[in-house]
Amino acid sequence: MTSSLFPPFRIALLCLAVMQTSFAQTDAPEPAAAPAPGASQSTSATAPATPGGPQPGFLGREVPLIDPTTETVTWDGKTWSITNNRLFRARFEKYLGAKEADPDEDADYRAALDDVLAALSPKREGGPNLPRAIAALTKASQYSIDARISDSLVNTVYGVWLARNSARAMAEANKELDRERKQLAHNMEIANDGNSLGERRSQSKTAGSGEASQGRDNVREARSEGTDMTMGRVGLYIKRTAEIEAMSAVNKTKAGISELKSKLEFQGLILQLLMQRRFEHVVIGTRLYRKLFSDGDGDLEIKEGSQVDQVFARGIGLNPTLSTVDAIASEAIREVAEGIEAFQFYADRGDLEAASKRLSEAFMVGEYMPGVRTLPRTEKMRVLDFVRDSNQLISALEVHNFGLVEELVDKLQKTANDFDSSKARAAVESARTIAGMHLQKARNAAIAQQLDVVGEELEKATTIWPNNPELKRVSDLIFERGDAHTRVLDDLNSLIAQKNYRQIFLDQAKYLAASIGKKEYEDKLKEIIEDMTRVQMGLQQAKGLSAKGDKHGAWEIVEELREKFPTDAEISVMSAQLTGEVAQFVSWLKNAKRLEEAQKMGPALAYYLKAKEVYPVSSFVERGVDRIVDDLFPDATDEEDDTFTSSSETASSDETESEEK
Amino acid sequence: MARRANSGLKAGQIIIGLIVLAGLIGGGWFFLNHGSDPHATTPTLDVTEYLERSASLEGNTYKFNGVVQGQLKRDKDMGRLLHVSTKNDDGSFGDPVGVQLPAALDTQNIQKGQEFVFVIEVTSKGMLLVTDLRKI
Repeated sequence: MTSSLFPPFRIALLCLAVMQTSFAQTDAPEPAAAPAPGASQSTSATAPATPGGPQPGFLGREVPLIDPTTETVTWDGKTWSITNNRLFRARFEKYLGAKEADPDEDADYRAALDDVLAALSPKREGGPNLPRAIAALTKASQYSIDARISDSLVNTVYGVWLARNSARAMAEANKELDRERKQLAHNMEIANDGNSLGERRSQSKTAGSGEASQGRDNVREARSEGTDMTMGRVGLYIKRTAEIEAMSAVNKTKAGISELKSKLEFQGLILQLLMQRRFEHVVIGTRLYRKLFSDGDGDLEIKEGSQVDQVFARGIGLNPTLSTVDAIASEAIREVAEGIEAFQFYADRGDLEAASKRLSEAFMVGEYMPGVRTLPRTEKMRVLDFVRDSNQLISALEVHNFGLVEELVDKLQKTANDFDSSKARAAVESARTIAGMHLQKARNAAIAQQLDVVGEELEKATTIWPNNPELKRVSDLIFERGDAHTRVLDDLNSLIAQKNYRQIFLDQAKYLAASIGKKEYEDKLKEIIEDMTRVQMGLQQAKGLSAKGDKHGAWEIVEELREKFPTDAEISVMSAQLTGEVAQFVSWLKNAKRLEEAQKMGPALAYYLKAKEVYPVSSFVERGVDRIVDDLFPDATDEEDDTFTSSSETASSDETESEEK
Repeated sequence: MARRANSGLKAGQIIIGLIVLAGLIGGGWFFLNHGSDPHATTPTLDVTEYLERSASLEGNTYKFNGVVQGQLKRDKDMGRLLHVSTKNDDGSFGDPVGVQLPAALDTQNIQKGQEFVFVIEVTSKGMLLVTDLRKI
């Protein structure tokens, strides 16, 4: 793999430009891959690597670090997938669909850059030729692909020259100052010598005269005047000398600062070019630097302790130098070339996944390299569909559209020999299983009328797989069942209001199912079903009695049922049939009942007794007579009457007597 | 010529005499049989009318012959409630009725199958309340 050949610290630098242009524009991090459904989010995808917010560092951000084993980049406290970044995917797709660069123009541009390198080469006959290199750079800057980067290099070199000129001027000024300082020193020396000579002359003049005392006074006076003048002049010399030395020191400092500033600017540009993956310009820049500055292989002036410094220190354990940067750029150029070669090899084999990965890596590292730019569109188109489908697969996984995932996986397997579908299929199966469990729970809850649980389980199933066809089927089923359930309960209410218990009894399974969980319905249904069971048994019993000729007994059973269930059709039909067969009996009972209700107990009793003569074991008669007896003898106590016997045989039972009659 | 004297009764006279004699005999028999019945003038209960329009009979006294078919209730304070089958004039059984025998009249042994002449009063509830009872 390309990334495995890059030490992490180098890749980190190479990624800077991509990160600055891509990631920095997006606030929302994009997950490296869809997390497994139902599982917790992968911490490697979006979780901050360090607690707290973004930390200050190089360019205000953490330096991105690649982990080649997971193909992720850690940057600004977050972990990203290298190739699963949305903007990168979009750029890569755009690259695949874009027409290749004009080969002739690109070749001319590369030739110009080669001229620069040739002009700066130490092997060149006569040594490196800086003016020629600058001229070639100026020519290269005319091409659109150069984006005026060569011009930036030229301007930087010009800045160095200006700084050098300034330093040269400073040196000339210092020479003048030094000359002046020397003159002053000479003057001071002369001044000191002149003062001693005058003093000696005054002493010789005063010694030859007779006026010795006056002479000594004059000497003292003259000495005093001469000393004063000399001291004043020497003081001026000393002051001026100090000024000159100060100015010289300032000029020296200025020259040094100008030199350092130029070097820092140049190093900054080289690093900037490295981050922009302009590796050819990096190589040119390092060669120019060596030509311009005597410490050509010196350390890079990177702030100690900064992230970049730490990256270099961690990677190689040494201070970063121009040679390091030069090596990185050269290696990147080689890697890109190898990536393109690998892409073509895999594409020829039909291993489109490997081909697209190698090309994407080459594109990420060397977007402006000639191998990447001049790759014919016909070659790139071989992996374009695969990349598009792969990107769509990633998106489908991110939004949990597992139906589309399955389609894409099937398609990708057909188009790419090396496509690894295991992860995607595992995600689909996992989602299907977990969503299925939630749907089953929702269905069970719907049957149990636990609407809250239904909602919760459907929501969970929807979160796992929003477009799950099974989800739609089950929810339709639940909601249809809900409608049907409501309709069934409405029907049940209507039938209960109509006292059409027979229909309820006949459709009891449906109504029982609809009433599950509703106690009021369950209790009512239970009562109705028990009643109707008794009705059915009564009707069967009546039919049996009727068949045996006991029409009166059959009528009484049916009549009792009819009184309880007056609207039951089957009872009504059988009652009507039997009433016709025992019409007189029925008539007497009805008369008895009517008169009893009219409080005419005498004739009512007479009718009951008439009916009893026809059907002695009539329960209707028995109950009617009992009611009348109770009415007539309200306070009577039940007492045995052994005195009442038959005239022919002892009989205490009225029924027995009637049977005998 | 001498007429033969009318020595015997004429036939017409004999017939009239026989008729008078028969009347006397019949009257004596009627007297002997009905002359001691205090309810001889009490109307007989029309059971059919009783069943259909008992209200029109309320407060009236009737008599009828009936056979005791059973005892529906007996209470020492309130008497008996009997199931009685009325007897038609031809001796056949008519419709059954309930007869209430007050405790004051419940002094004799009553058994099923015994025939009685019931003198009753129709109460406000249409009950046949026995006011006199005579075993036949």
